[in-house]
Amino acid sequence: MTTDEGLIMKCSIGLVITAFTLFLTGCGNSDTAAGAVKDPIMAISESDAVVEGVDLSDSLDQEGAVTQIAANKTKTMTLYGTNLQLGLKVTFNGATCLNHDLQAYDNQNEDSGKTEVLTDCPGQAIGTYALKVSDPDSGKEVYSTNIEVVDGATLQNQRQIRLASIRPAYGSNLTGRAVYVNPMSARHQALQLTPGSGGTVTGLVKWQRPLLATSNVTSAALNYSQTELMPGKGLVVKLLDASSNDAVLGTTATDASGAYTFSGVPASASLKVQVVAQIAETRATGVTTGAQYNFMLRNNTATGDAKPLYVLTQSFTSSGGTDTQNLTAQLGFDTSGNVTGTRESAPFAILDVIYNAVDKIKTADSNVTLSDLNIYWSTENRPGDGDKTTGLIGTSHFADTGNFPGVFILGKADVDTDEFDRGVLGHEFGHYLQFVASYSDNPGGSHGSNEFKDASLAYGEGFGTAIGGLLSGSQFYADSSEAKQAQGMVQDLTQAPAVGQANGFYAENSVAYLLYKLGTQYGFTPFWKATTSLKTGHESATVFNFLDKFIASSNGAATSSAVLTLAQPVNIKSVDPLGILDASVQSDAAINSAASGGAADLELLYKVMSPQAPNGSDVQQLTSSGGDFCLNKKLKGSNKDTNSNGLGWTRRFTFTSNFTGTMGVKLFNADKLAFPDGTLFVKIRESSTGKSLPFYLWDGGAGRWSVTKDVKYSITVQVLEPKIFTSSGNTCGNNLYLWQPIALPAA
Amino acid sequence: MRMKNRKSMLQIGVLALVAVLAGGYFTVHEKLNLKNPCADLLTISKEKNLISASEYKENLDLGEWNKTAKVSPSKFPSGIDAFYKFETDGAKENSQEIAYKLSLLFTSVDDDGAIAYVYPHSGASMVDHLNDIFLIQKRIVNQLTIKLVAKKSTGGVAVVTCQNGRKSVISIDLPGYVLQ
Repeated sequence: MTTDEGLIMKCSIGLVITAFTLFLTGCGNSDTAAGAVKDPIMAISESDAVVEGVDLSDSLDQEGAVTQIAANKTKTMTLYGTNLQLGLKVTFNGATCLNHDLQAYDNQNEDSGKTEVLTDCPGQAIGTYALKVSDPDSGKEVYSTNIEVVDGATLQNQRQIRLASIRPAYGSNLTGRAVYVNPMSARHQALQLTPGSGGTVTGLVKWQRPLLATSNVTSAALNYSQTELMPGKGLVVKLLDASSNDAVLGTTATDASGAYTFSGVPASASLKVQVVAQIAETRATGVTTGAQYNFMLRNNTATGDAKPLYVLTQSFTSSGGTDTQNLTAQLGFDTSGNVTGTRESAPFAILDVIYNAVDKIKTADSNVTLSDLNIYWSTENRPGDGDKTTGLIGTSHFADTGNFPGVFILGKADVDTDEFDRGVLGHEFGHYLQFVASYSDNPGGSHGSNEFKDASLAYGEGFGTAIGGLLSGSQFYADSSEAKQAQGMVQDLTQAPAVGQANGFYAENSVAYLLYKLGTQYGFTPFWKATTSLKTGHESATVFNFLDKFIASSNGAATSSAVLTLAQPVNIKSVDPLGILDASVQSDAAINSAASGGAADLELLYKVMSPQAPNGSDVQQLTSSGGDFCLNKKLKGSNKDTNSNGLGWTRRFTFTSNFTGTMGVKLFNADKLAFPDGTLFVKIRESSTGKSLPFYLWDGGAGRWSVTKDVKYSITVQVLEPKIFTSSGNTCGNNLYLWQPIALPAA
Repeated sequence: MRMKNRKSMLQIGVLALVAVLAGGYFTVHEKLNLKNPCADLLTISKEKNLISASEYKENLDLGEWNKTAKVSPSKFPSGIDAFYKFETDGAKENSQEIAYKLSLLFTSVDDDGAIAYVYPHSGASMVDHLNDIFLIQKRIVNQLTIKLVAKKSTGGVAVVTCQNGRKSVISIDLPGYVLQ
């Protein structure tokens, strides 16, 4: 499901090599080599892989496990669990599957600690077949499940039926009346149930929210003694026939003031108006223009796989004239912040942020198409690890995998509620936008605002905060929490980090400041264009890539020098996509080795390598230099055993291939030893397209992929286990080498 | 000409003063930028003579402990790891309530002023008091023990940790908790 997330591999300790010459001939002599030299790296315990399940889904609107796949088509499956590695032996109906993309699994929460492996399994005929996984070290079968293979057209048809069932059909099913399908020109769609006759049902939809406790926004606390009514914008409204099992007579949507109207309504009918926590625009058949999206607010702690949408319903008997039916979603808290009733307004508060966001995106792209998305909120959603369907969601987050992909929002009163925290909502929606419309290779993991972190992490989180602020229309990222939601934190996006705080391409607050500044100064349109153009055509998602795309998207409004001027307060000194600094730029004293003790090469984001042309032999080393790198263990945020997302623990390389064939990559530490099992992730991308490339046949010390002559590639290496370096200092002299291995077998 | 120059110098001087004052204002404003979410707890810790959590000196077998959820990076978490386990003291006499002993461990503490704040929710209550605030010390495994009571199938405990001006709030269900 996350094939665009890049490729990751994990080393195997069983095939340690000690000398560079050995890597040219493979890993067969590892035992001798491992014993010959004192290994300065701590041993990593070996355990069998634990596969907890397989994810077959490829859509965000899915609810419950997917058990069917299409026939005669290669299927990428996602195995998830613990101790996973690329060397797992995976077969489907006895056919070997190829593994790639070992990466963090985001089903539970952003820091679940679980990993996933993508595996490409050959297409099979219609039937039911076993997917089997064996551990490469013990040889034991660790997982087996049956997967049903069905006709692809049937599967596609089922998909269309599902989409039709979850997207609102703006029209009427009254007998003899023409269906009036979703004109894209107007969100407000009054249905002509009986044109020219009958009555009208009209009304306003509102929802109640508390105000912030302080007017100067120095506190995120919610003040329940002061509330206001807000219009329910863009919400789906249905007219139901109460005398006929709530049959839907018509569907419309509220306008920006919360107003809705049904006309042509028969008199003396027992009816209901039902407001659904859903905002959507769907194109009619054959229509190719206009926005298309569908955001649904569901209760993840309800029983069953089909989680219900939140609704607000009101019954009445029609008069045949004009019936006014106003509906207000109540707050459910008393003036002191105690829960006293149903918290009806929470789902609509969340959707209000989404509505405003989509409206802003539409100003930049009137034909924007966004994937259908479930947003899960419950009064039981609390910050604890466990089953999401019981409310243990970890924290508010976006997950693109699992049985219930989507955005999860905290709702547990007196612990942490996020339904009124617009910055938090915008941030998580920003992660969704990154996934569906842009690109993120954020390594995830714990981090804070004053830490030196990897450039992709700082960009990923800073982008989420900035676009959240831009789309929610607030410069304040506020998060209320604790008893009666009376505590919390506030970040002002218009303020650069203070002196003494981490400030640069490695600090998420710096990135958030600069991106928010760009979005407010030059408008949202170039911001959105830069965001979407990052979907392809770059090496890795960092602030430098974004700035490069932003300048190109601004039609000359934002020059390089103007952007650099804006970036000065946050110590970002380049708009080159690879972050290359001019020779005149002074070294960053906050991270350089002389002033701060940081590793020597932290400002060099990419190492440019120049492989030599292959000479025709089966195995050949193609680089002897250019791939050396340091690991940094001295700066805050990168100085702990758990700080694998710190600055200096992810290193980036780029090169242009001078041949077409199979390219291999190997990595060694400063003592010319392979890194221990489970300590490396490697991602490979084609630079010109940004396409993630499958990285196959990990043999314990190296992996390989197909390259094309004159095409530029980038390699990202993340050392996952800083604790293997027992020293508290930096470690230089590590090396990445390119080589030509034995060619990949034909697919 | 000279007069004009003097006037200009005066203007520059006024501008400079304004700039300094403005700088001062913005400096003050900047301090308000990221409100320290732990400020209230820090105030309490200074006003009251808080006791420190005790050091857990046994070998830490994580297999015996439950690890609490980590908190989203977007929420600027404290970075402190918390582990917990419950012991049930049984039903209180003549009562529908069950008594629990909650043991908590805190690791990854690297700040001298780190604080743990524990309070009950969802129908649970602490024995003898409403909440507990402790200083937790860096470079050791800190241990706290909390006594709670709650009706069967109800109750939770919120655990707030603070260090370096960052705060995490996590929730622990009492054993047998059922969705309300």
